[in-house]
Amino acid sequence: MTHPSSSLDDTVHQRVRLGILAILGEVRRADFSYLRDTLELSDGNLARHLQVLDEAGHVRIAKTFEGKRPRTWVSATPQGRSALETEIRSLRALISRLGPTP
Amino acid sequence: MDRDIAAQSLRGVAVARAKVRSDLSGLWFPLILFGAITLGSVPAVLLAPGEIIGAYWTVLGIVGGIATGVFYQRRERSLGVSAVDWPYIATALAIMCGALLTGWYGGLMVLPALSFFGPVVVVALGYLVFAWLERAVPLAAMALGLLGATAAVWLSGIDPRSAGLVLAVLYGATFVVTGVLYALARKDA
Repeated sequence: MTHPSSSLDDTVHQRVRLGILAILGEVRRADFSYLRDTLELSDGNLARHLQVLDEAGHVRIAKTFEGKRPRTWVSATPQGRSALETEIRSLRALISRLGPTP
Repeated sequence: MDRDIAAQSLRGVAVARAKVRSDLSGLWFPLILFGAITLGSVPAVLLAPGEIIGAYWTVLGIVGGIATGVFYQRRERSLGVSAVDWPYIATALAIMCGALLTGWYGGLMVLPALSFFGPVVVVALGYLVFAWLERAVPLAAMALGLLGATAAVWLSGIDPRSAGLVLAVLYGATFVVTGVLYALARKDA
């Protein structure tokens, strides 16, 4: 039997990226500012994590204009949603396998 | 991996999800709007034949649905986050069609109980679905309370037209009060 931690995906497991996918898993799309403010990140930090998720195919990034104002919308791909669910299942399995904290 | 770190990660996911749901929730608007429309239907229930009530709900149900859609769209644009909206649209359409069909069929088959109780049961069940979609316990309690009140009015044996009147006032007032409570809770948050 494999240990539950072996099914943890490093791309998704990282704390900030897990937070990004947790938010995107609940919505159709969120803009860059909403993610930055909700997760209390700097622009650069969020951009780096989004790039990792984008390269892994977990999120889709669309740059649009509303009037003259640029807006970056981010949404989870089906692969990203599935990776989030797998991660949550693995974390739960890990917790139940390791039992209560002594 | 440490158990505490795994538990902390799961808590982080739950907190992020709860924050998004709370940001997206705008239940107060449709509750107050449809509460007001329901209370506005009381004169029609009192005076007019079934076709007028059907027409009232067809027109104001569509107007209310469009107003709610515009409200959520503007809110989502200003917040920077958009909900997955198709389950809400499907539920709203199911409520509208279900309520109108049960009312119409009850009238066609001369089943006053169905034409007066059917639509309100469909509406209360619809709000249970909304409560599940929003993970909103107070909204679920409201919907279950309305279903219980509907059953009590039905079992009381009063004539269907009077029952329809009682239920219109009860549903309308409950929607408005619940909507105001949601709005106040949001203001305090």
